[in-house]
Amino acid sequence: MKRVWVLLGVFAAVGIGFEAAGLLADKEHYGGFWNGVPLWDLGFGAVGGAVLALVAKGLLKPRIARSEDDFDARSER
Amino acid sequence: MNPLDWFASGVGAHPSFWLALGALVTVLVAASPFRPPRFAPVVGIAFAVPAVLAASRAAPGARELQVSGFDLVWFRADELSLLFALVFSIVALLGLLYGSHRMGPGETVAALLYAASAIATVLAGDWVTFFVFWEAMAVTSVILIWLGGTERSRQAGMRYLMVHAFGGAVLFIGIVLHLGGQGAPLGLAPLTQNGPPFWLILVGVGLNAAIPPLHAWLTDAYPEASTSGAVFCSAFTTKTAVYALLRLFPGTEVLVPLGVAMALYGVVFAVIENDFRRLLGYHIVSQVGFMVAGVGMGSELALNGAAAHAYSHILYKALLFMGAGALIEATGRRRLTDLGGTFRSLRFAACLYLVGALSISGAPLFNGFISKSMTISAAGYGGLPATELLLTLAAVGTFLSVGLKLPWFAFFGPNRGIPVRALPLNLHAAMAITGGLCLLYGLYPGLLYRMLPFDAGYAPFTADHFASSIQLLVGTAVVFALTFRRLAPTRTRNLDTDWVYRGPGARLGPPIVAGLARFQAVALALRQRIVAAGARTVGKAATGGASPAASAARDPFAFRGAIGWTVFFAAAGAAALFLLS
Repeated sequence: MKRVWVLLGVFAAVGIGFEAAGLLADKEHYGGFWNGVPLWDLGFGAVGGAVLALVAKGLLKPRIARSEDDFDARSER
Repeated sequence: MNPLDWFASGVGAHPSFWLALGALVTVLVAASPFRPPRFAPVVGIAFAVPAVLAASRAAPGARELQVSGFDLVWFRADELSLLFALVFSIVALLGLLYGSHRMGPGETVAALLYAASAIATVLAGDWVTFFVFWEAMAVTSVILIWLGGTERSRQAGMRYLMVHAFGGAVLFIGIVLHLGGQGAPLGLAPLTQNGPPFWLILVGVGLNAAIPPLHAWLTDAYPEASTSGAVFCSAFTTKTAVYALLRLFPGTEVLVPLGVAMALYGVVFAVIENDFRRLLGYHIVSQVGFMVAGVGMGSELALNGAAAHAYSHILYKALLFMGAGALIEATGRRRLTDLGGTFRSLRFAACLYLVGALSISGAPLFNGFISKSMTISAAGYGGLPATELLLTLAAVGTFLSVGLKLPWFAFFGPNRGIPVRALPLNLHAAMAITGGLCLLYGLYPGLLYRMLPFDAGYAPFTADHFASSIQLLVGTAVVFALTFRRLAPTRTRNLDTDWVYRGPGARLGPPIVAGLARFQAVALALRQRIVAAGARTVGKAATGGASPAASAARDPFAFRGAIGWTVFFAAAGAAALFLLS
């Protein structure tokens, strides 16, 4: 549990630090509205990583995972 | 005259000349009684150095050669072709240095000819030269896969050859229809969407670019290549296809969704992959997706981004495959489930692998930072916000799997007490130089930007770009730290689109071969009748006195092997499409 709090602390510190630094610099505004949302990239990295992990491990892998010698076994049959 | 100027003129200006000469010298020395140990890579390196010099000194221009009435442009140098020729030459040199402790004459010759073919393809100015060297790449690269030395590598090489023979046939038909049916000029130029030739050439090139569902040859074959062969393979075939897309299909809108799909497809499969070289193979698919999307966008910034990212990708992917090869050579293992706790024994190689991992992840001060963001920014500036968002998601997945999952489970995970062999100096030197180049271009992006085909200005070192990149990486790292146990690899194999020809397709093989054999018998019998009828008509023995059966037995009409069938199918397909179009 301590590790989770430490990681969340890092997460918050980086977010606040960079947003504070961002106030001192010009932001590039192009593309979607999200480029102007505070802490967007930090949240996108976290949520995007979680979504990819969920899709890959939770949805895709159970459907496509086979034993390591699957094709070799097929060709022998 | 400055001696270096010689590299800017004459045949010496062509880097492939030096590499092919190196291959010839290697063969001659190998055949001679005087054969010093480990001579082959030394000869290769000795000839790769002038190839790099030639690529860096070559001046824009074109040189032609007339063959059978065709004006073949064997050397067309412009910003785009020289950019690829230079980085191909550099990787050829570094790959030879990396493998010089173990490469024999056969592997050295194959690697030199593979690199020479790739460079000759990007410097080709006409369709004939382009196609000849395009096909030469397939033939030379398969040797590097076979040199993996296992039954799996032999079978994967055969599948690789089969798929590329199919791709070559499709490309051949497209070129024939483009030149013959549409009367197009012989010179390579951007194609317009005007029917079957456009799409056939796109499919032929797209197969080499590993656009799904035509990508499985890559993740099937590259992990089976020799450790040094995989370094060469990672650099040339797909990036030559990116060059062809940049040259022939700039602004083709269908490439944008295809590129985005590639970028995401690769990272999703990489997240669940256990074989670390196959994992890196999926990331070739993903990273080439960024380039394909950039080609499809077609703006100057996007095309520059695609070219710049190809250049960066060749360097950091070579470094990543060098790191993977170092792991295999040190431990003899290739699955993440078999590794862990190797960092203490492989500190130098692991740190250099991490340079490649940070580069591919687009971390600030590494070369991926200055090239990947060009394509993502081009999507934003080009009014494609969904593309921008999805490519950013693919970048997150890249860091998750190559930057975090692979190094964690290979180098830092639970120590399994794996015996580790010491790695040779040349291997470390090659990795250090490649890592140094990744940092050099990351710190001084002007060195790369000034070689790009357009003058589109792009400033990577803005506070916003720095802040957003670091936030993205930290956000991904925090999620990995919270979920890494769930991301642990398992000893399984994941089905991909190669299932089509390795599953049901493999079962269809014997009936197809039997059917073709029957067709061949009918064709032979028919031909004998025609020949016999002709002989009776003319009044002389067309079979030279031999019986028809004996004549047929030595008849070269018997098509055998994949190449023969490929040519047959290509000709039949070209004729059919020519009649339809």
